[in-house]
Amino acid sequence: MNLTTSAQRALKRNLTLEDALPTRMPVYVDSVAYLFGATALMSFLLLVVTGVLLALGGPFWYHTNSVGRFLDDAHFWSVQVFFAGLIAHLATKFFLGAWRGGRWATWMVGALLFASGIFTGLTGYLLQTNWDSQWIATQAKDAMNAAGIGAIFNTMDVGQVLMLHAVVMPLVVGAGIGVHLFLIRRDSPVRPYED
Amino acid sequence: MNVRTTEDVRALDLLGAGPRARENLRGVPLKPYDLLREGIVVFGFVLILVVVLSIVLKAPDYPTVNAENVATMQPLAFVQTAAGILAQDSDISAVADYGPPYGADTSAAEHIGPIAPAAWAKDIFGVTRPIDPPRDLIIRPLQRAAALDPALGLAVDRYASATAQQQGVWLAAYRKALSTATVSKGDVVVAPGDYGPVARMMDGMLRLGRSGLLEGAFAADDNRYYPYSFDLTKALLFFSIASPYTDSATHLQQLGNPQWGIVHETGNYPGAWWLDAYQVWYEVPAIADADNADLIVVGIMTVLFVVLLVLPLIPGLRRIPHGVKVYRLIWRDWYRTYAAEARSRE
Ligand code: HEM
Repeated sequence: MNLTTSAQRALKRNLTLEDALPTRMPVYVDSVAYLFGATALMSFLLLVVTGVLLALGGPFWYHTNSVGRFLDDAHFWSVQVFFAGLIAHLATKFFLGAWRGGRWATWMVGALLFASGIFTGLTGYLLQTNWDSQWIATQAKDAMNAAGIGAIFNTMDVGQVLMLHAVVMPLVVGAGIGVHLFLIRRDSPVRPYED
Repeated sequence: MNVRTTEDVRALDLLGAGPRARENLRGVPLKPYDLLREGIVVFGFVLILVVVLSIVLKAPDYPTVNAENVATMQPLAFVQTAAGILAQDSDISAVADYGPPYGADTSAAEHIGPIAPAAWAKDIFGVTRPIDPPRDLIIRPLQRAAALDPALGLAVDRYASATAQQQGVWLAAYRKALSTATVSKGDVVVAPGDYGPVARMMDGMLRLGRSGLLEGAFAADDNRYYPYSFDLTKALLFFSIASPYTDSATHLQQLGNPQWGIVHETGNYPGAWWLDAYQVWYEVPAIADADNADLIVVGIMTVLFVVLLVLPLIPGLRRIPHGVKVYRLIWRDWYRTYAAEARSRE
């Protein structure tokens, strides 16, 4: 068996160039509702950009440096736009019943992205190393401990929080988005209800 | 989006699309589309929005509340906290009688009947963040401070070598006296009484707190890699359920709404509002008053999440969108212009 040939065949079957980079769309894709996913995606991109720039100076410099402060402000507002886009996306996909026609996996990966996004957000709040982090760390620990998660995740261990927020979770969310987009492009947009 | 005639769209075909897309789009008119252009436009929109919000509104970054702040601003409350921790009073000490992951005793760990994740996690992973509050949060820091104050060291030794019963008697008397104590020049003054070494020790704690060295003592303890340290558990737990913490925050204008837990940001900024659906359960009195409130809320949210996750597979629930008909609004052009034609072309 030629692995490369198989890979080519799998790609042709599942993600042609026109699937990956479409130049036409079904006419029913005609509403701002279709832009909420892209809004979440683009704010995620902006989160990665501002996050990487923040990372260059380490986890503390932005408290006192004006460039760092601006990047931190932008990171903060990207999070707000991300969740606004994400929740609008989730809600509209629900009202379209967009899991029909074998798209249940797209929906489930989306739901997992929602949960991972929330956890990433929590670690971000904990990583601010300011009064908010301090307050949230001591509040959130009880739910973590009650759920047994506290045994391996400590909201008050800023080293663990840093690694989860800046390394692990972006990889998890990024990979999840990759799978989500692959499924969406392979399947093409869900058809309207036949009524 | 641009208006187009049905003739325009009929001229496009699905050449180049994969089998799943062809199958799905059979009979559906197509329109020209530019993925990258749309992506760039949305990115530009998000970028401008974020930059404007950042310039106009900025984002909050209020300083922390530490032991030095509390010891300076609220000496009496500071000493009450330290004495409460030493006495293992769970109304004041965040770690007294808590159980995993700080201690092995699971009797106070939250559970719902036989469902006890905290105890299970302890069985699997052990006590992963062991903290002995009187020793780790009071005695050990005082022993370090004793290097600068030998008399304090003698007091700590005397306390440590006394019986638990004797310790309890001293502590109870001292904590009772605190209710009528006064503050003079930043020091806490209690009426004379038999507190053994406890008054001396608490005075030592207050001065250690005021010096700003208390958190350093925590970080150095049981840490062979000091000064490297990332685990702030002891420093953050010291005040975490005692009011001096939130009161000092108010003094320092670190405005927030403690009643709303992790959802609301300080000042007038939006916080993690996407957690409102989580936080709102704590507003239900029957849950808020329960000993296992956290586990109940975690349980509710876990069930709700699983429902969201497998919604496409749940008969009945997955038909809801068809019933509420919001899709008719989003796809109104389709139903008005194309639906009948697409059906006939299939
Ligand atoms: C990081 C989070 C997410 C990103 C970046 C994202 C991105 C996208 C994008 C760009 C699309 C295609 C454009 C569109 O239809 O809006 C899409 C489609 C879709 N998303 Fe998401 N999404 C995310 C989370 C979610 C969540 C939480 C759900 C639901 C639980 C979800 C369910 C879906 C479904 C079912 C589709 C297919 C729609 C169709 O066939 O028309 N996604 N997503």
